[in-house]
Amino acid sequence: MRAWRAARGTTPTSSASCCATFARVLERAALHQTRFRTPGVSPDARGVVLGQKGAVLFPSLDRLVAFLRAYGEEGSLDELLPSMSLRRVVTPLKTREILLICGAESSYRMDRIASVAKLAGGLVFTGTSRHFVKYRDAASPLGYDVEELLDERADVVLYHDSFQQAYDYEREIAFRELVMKLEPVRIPASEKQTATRLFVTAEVGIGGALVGYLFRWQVRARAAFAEWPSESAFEDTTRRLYVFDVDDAPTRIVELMNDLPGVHVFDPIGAGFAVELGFRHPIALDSCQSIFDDEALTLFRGDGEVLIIDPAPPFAPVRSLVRNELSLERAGHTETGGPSDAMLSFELPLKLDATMAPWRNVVATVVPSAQREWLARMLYALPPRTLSTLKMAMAEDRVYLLDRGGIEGVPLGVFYSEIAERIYVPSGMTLVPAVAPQVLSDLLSDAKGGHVFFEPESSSPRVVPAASFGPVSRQVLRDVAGLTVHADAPDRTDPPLPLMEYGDARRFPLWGVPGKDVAIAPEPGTEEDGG
Amino acid sequence: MSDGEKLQRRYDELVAGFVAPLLTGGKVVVEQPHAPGAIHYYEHANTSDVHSNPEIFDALHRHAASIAPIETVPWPDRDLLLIAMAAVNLLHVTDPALDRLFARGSRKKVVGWIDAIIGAIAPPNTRADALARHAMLDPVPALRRRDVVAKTWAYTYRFIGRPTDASLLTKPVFGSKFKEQESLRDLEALLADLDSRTGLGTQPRLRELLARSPVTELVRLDLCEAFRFGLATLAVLSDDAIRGGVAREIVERGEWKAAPRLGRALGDPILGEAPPAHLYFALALCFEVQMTATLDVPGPALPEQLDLSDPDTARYAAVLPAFFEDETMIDEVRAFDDTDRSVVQERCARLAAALPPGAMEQIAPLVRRCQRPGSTSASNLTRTEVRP
Repeated sequence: MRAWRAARGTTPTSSASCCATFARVLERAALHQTRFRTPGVSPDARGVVLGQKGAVLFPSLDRLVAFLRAYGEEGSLDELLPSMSLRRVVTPLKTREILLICGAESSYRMDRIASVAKLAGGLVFTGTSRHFVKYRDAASPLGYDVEELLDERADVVLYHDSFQQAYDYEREIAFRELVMKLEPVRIPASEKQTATRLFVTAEVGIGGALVGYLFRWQVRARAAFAEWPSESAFEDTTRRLYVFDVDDAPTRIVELMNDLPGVHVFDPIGAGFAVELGFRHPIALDSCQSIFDDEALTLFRGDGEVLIIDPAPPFAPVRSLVRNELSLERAGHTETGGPSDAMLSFELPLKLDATMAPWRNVVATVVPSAQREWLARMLYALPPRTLSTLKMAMAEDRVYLLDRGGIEGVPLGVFYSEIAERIYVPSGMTLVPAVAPQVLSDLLSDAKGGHVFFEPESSSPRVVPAASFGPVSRQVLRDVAGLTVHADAPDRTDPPLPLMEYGDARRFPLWGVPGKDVAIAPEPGTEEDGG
Repeated sequence: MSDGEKLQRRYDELVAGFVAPLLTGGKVVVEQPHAPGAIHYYEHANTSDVHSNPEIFDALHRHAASIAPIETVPWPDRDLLLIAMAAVNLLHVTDPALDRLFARGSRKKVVGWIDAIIGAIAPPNTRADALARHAMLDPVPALRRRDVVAKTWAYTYRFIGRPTDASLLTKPVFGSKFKEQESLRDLEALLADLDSRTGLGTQPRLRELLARSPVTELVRLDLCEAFRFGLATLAVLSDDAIRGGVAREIVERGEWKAAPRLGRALGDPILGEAPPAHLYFALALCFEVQMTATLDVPGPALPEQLDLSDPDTARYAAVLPAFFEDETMIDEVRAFDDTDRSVVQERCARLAAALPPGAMEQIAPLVRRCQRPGSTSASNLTRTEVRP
């Protein structure tokens, strides 16, 4: 704080024009005092010196954001916003600070502002027009009055017990602009909560598939289409996004959408604004709802981008948007039947037939051998969760894939729905006659616990033994053989202690020793060791 | 057989039968002694055993590099061959077969050859030379002779340093089998026994031979009672890498075993008049030994009962406190980090408290007088700065 004041150049010895003496800038207000030198202040019902406005001085923008965040968490910013203005102010020494001015209303509100401002490192003042005197504190419970007014041409003059300073307004900071510019922060995983209602934006390429997906899983969702003009003059196309309003989506679907590239899931905080799931805006947005237009939809993305859809587009239920396949020729095949006199005893083979019922329990897919290469490439791109739950059985001409959580992660082959335990039919088809699942299980009792697939091109179902299914990682991944690196310390080859042995004993040991008659001379150029 | 052929055969015996098994831990065979004049042939000869030279080179290099990093070792080399010849001759004179008639006189002659050979060994010139000599000489005092005594109630056979006769010992003598008793005796004991019997003075000659390798002399201080810091020793110690390696070896083999010898050498009056640069290397070795011993283990690495009543040991122990008290040695002390310095200071305080009166007064003047040579001298392989 001392450094900050020193930087502002307001210490009593730094400028002759802006200071009197260190202790004599302010004087304490007395009880029942009615006349003050500070213009525009008066005692309120409790005797606290109060002007019509309150001012909070912050050394930097992040302190201001901290104040707004703390105040929004504790109370409502909406009550401040109508009278609040944010300005960047500059001293004669060109030091820049941030000044928040709002209606004082009462000493109760100012007390709350003062308590939060102290936490955020702000200084609190009160006044009416140009002169703001320090708001009350523990040292002077009724507030302060100035000793002498500073006669200087300035937009605002602040009197503190240790300094008095004139400021000029440099620029106005719009609160809404500030909110839009702040980047949301990531929430720790432990604090994440899934809301019952969500907004989802999807790029155009994936939006159609998402409509079908939400419809297939019977998720209550409404979809809309938003458009923005291109941001660049060199770009002809407009920007388009699908926007979904999703209610009561299962957690797995929310996680799937959150993991999908091009799809962003937003947690609505108010009626018309939302922050991306897993993020939190630095300022409590629910305490400043008034800055958002009711007719618009404002979405804060985690990367800092803000999507404003103004006006909010009309939403339509996804069931009305899903594509239906209609064939008008089929209508001509309708035939009228009549009673028959044929024999009444008969056997009914189970047959596959198309159904308009929504797809349920789509948990398997059969990939023909021709698409094996694609499957292999896709396995590289699958997220870890899908890979961990996916089971695979390899047949001669096809690959069976099974995922109890839903097979949508593998968009290959023919999808199969589970209509009874371990009995699958192609999605969009059903078995006729529509026998109960238990009856089906009984009929297929010879499957011996295997998985039974009814296929359109075959009259009899195929049974894949349960033992054939295994995790993808075991079925297709090659063994990873690690290369053993010998990184041990090199062997310390301490030789064993040598032994000595004499040669053959000779009667005359020196007999025949060569060189004994030759004198030895030191090597030329060497010196004797003096040691 | 011509003299040339004889010399080549003796050279092969020396290289393949003695040097190679000595370095690789095998069984050395001592045939006839080597005459000093044979070196004129040996220094230019090449062994006819193709495996010996690579084995010797590897073993020399490995052993030498355990003290300090080197690139190569000089092998074959005149001085190394002379050391090997002297060692063979020292082993030869321990043969009890020389006690026989007509052979007794040969010992005196061989001892004379040993003196001549030792006198011809030049001081080491390079780091590799010094370390190769150490690699060659270090296993010599560890050589052991295997003596077998086989007894029955009727006969006693002694195989002193010679292989037992299996065909003889496996035959029962009057129904009883031989009982074999085996003992191993090292070279030091053999020489001591020989000196006591003959008064030839072979033990001092072994020490003299060890002194031709300053590194061996430093790490085998237990064998060198009369050790002192000679010029060759100081020249070797002027190499920082060798000094560090020697300090590690001394600590590995027991700091307080070497302490009395080092302390006695520090008390040598000649050292008091040595040039300041030479003095520094002697003191630096003692300092580094203490540092290595302290920092290798937790705590000050001092025995629980610190007994410095021996003046030689006290002289050695006083080096560390003297270094810490001397302001010119601030670089040596500053080289440690704070934790290590606190441990060293703890050791320092304990040593200073245990020192007898007078020990500090002997060492402190030496520490004040010594002078650390310039940095260029530390990395030079040729240590000309301390040559006489």
